[in-house]
Amino acid sequence: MSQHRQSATHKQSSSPANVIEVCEVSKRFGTVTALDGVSFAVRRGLVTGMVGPNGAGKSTVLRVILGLHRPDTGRALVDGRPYRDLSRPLTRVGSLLDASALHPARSARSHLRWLAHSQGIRATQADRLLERVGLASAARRRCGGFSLGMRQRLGLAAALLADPAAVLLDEPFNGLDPEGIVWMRELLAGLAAEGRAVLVSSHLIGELQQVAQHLIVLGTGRVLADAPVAELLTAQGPERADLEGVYFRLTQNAVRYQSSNAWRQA
Amino acid sequence: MSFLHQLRAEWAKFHSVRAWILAVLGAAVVTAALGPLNLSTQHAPSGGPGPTLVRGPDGQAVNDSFYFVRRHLAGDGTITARITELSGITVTGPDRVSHEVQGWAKAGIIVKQSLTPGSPYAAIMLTGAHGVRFQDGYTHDTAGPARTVPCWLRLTRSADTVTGEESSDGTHWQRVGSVRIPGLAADAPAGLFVTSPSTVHVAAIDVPQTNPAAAVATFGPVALTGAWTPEPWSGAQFGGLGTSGDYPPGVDGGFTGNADAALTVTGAGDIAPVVGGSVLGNGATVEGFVGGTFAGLIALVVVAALFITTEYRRGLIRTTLAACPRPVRVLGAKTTVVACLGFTAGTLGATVAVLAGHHIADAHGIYTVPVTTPTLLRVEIGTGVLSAAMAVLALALGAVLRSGATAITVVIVATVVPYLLAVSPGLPTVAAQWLLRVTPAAGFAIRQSLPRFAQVDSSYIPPDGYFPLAPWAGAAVLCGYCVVAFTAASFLLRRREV
Amino acid sequence: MRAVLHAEWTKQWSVPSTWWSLIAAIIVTIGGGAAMSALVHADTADGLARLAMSGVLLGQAVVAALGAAAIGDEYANGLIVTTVAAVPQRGSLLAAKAVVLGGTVLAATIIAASASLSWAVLLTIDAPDPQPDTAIQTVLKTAASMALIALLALGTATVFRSTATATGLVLGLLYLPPLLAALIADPAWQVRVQRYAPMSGVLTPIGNGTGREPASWSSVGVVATWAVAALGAGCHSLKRRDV
Repeated sequence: MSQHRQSATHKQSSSPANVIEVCEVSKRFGTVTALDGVSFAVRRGLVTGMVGPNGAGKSTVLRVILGLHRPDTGRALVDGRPYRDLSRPLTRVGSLLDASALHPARSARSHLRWLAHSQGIRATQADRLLERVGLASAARRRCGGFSLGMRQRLGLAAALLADPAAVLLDEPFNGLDPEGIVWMRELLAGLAAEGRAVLVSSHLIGELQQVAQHLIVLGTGRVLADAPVAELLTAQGPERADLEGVYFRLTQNAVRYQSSNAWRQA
Repeated sequence: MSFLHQLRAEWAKFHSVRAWILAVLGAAVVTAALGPLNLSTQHAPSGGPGPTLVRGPDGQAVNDSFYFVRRHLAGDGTITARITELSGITVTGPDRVSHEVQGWAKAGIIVKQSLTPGSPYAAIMLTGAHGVRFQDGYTHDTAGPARTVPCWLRLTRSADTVTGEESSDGTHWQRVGSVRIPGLAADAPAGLFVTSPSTVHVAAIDVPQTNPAAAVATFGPVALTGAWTPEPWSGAQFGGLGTSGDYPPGVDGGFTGNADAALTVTGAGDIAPVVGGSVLGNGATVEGFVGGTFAGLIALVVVAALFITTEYRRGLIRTTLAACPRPVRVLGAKTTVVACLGFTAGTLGATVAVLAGHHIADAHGIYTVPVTTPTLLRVEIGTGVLSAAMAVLALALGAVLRSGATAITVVIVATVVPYLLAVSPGLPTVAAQWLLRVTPAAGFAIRQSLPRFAQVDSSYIPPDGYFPLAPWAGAAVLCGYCVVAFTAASFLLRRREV
Repeated sequence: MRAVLHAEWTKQWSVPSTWWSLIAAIIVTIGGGAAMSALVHADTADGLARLAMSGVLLGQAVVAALGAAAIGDEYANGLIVTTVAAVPQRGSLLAAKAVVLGGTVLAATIIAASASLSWAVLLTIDAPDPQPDTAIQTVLKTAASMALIALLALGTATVFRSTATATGLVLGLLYLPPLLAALIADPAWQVRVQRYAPMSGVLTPIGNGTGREPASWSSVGVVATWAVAALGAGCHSLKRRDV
């Protein structure tokens, strides 16, 4: 990850360790309580993993942080301020929620250029990022023809475009080939090493095991665990250093959508 | 998957989107409500209720107004008369009058069932420019020889059958027509009549202009045989002036002279069906009742286009085609779903609109141009056909263009704009008529309720509610567009990679 | 705000459909006007201007679809999430979209309307040519109305979050009043419906009531009211709603 050494550790000085703070956030959608008093913080220099079964509220909490959803109670702060009050938000938080959210007729380069303009940063940054995520050769192609992996790469480029202090990624491993998964892990580690706060959600604990230093486990809208990975593993016992076991123990009573036993045995 | 299965699948897909179901219901509601609501903003014309239209034996709006010089025929009998002169008095401009006679000015012999306006009749007559005619029931017109004055006319009643004959010399007679009038009164009013419609000028741009006109006819000796009641001839304007008659200033209906020598009769009015246009004034029409169709159509077009284009948006089409790998079957099933929904919404909406419209028009004292039951049914079913066809067109174009907004814009612009231009005064009549022949707007012809008649001169132009194509021919043009769009969509769905 | 404008500008011009829509709007506006000028005889300067502008009857539909797509397409493909994450000030976001869209449509319609009017003047020999300042006013009124129609569609699409629904609604708002007005016999209501309909600012041979008074700046004001109301509703729901 030598290519982004230039910005390494540049944001650590004199700012608090917590870039993102979620305080007692609750959110209901009709009769479904998506989030129920969720609190946690995302620290600089670490990759924080967020796991939980389908419907645990992982995407909702990311959307609350980004000001896309208004919480019913509680608040989410970025650098001590609500996201909606940020003037050039992408310089603070870069995010990738839905990689396929692209205009099919717009080129990858134009997509990044309008984002760059919206943050008042130089449009040449777009080409630099395309290079970095390995899409330089596809820069002028319509996004409509991109594979899911290419869309993930473009989404990542958009997230990193304005050199943010924090990065939020929702299921970034989806659609990546094995080589891409390795690349993604290295990239995340590199971002954390540069002093950024990295929050990665996933429903696959195995993917996070190798990259996250801190883990937040969500289940039916509640935080079930919020601890360093090492600590969680210690609690499990020295003989079984397996996060998956921790995960299942934590979420066994907090699964919203569960297949029937008959199906599982079949 | 069989077509029926696919149909069920597509119906399930449709009705699981609540907004679409609401939109179809909304289409039916606006179709039903807008026309009658529009009507309820309207007041009866100032100066009391408008002229009540006379209804003929078929339920149609008719004019039954003429100057009538009559006696009563209490059984079988004949009446023979020679017409020696037929001229006119026509207003041609401010303070200008000519003696030109209207083409459909009528002078001749008539037998009526009763003295009620709109009652059945039979008449043999000489017209201003269309020769001798035998007419009955207001809409039936039989042409005789193209004669001018002088000519002889004879009407014979035998029980309830009336026969009209004509002759050029009074000796050689030729039958022109014959009709049975059931329930002809024992003492049927019969005699001589003269009438003339007003002139109609259809200019290219302006509102059609009418000018008052009257006809003057001189009858030679009138010969009667049979059961005539012993009474003198009496003359009066029968049935007012109707919608298309008006005496020029200073001219009144009347008769002078003596039936044994020569009788000169002046009359105005018409014995003919009412046609649309300016003569209707504030009158309500059945197509006015279903005017909300336009709003309903827009809702249906949006839903139909979305029904196919939302499949493209998130790749659902791949799932659909994986479940049924025959694209044309999918398109057929979707088409069937929207066509059935459109037809139901349109027909139901129009039926309610017609009922409500009549009710509101009656309550507000607005007269409604009466139409026959088959016409009413055609307007109601035709609105359904129109709605179904527009929905199919939008669906097929949506499949071709793969963009809901584009398909909606194209369908609405291609139908509404030509219609709007054609029915607004301003466009030359020829251009307006071509627009309603070749564009999808031709389909609106199916809702026209005003009939046209060769024996009535009027401005049969789109702004008055007359389409250049017959109702079902117009619908066929629109359906032609649907077929072309459907074919193009099938072709593209088969060829295109999803 | 400058950054947001710049972003929306880039966004608008980086999809080919913007180009196609504007080209289509210009072509149908000029073509419709040319066809009507060729078909119908005009004998006054006002009549000539009306005929020349008849293409607007078609062009406004294209412009409405373009305006609806400006935000509706973002909802369709989910891009709105990225946009709102980049510009969380949703009022400024909608304002920037309105400025970019309105300016673009205004410029395109000025071209189309001037061309239509010049063509009609060249084509017609017996009608007096419009005075230069009248001609400029006609072009500006038409262009302003078209831009406002695009904004009406933008606001509607923001409320309904769908290009297709908004296009259908706006086309209904544009075309239904003249159609329904034709059914109304009461002249007072007829004039009322025509005067307060969003199409009232558009100078066409139809649709300005029985009086056929020339489209005035006040009728452009009527369209502006519709556009402002739609944008206001759009802004309100954009701010209140979760994305």
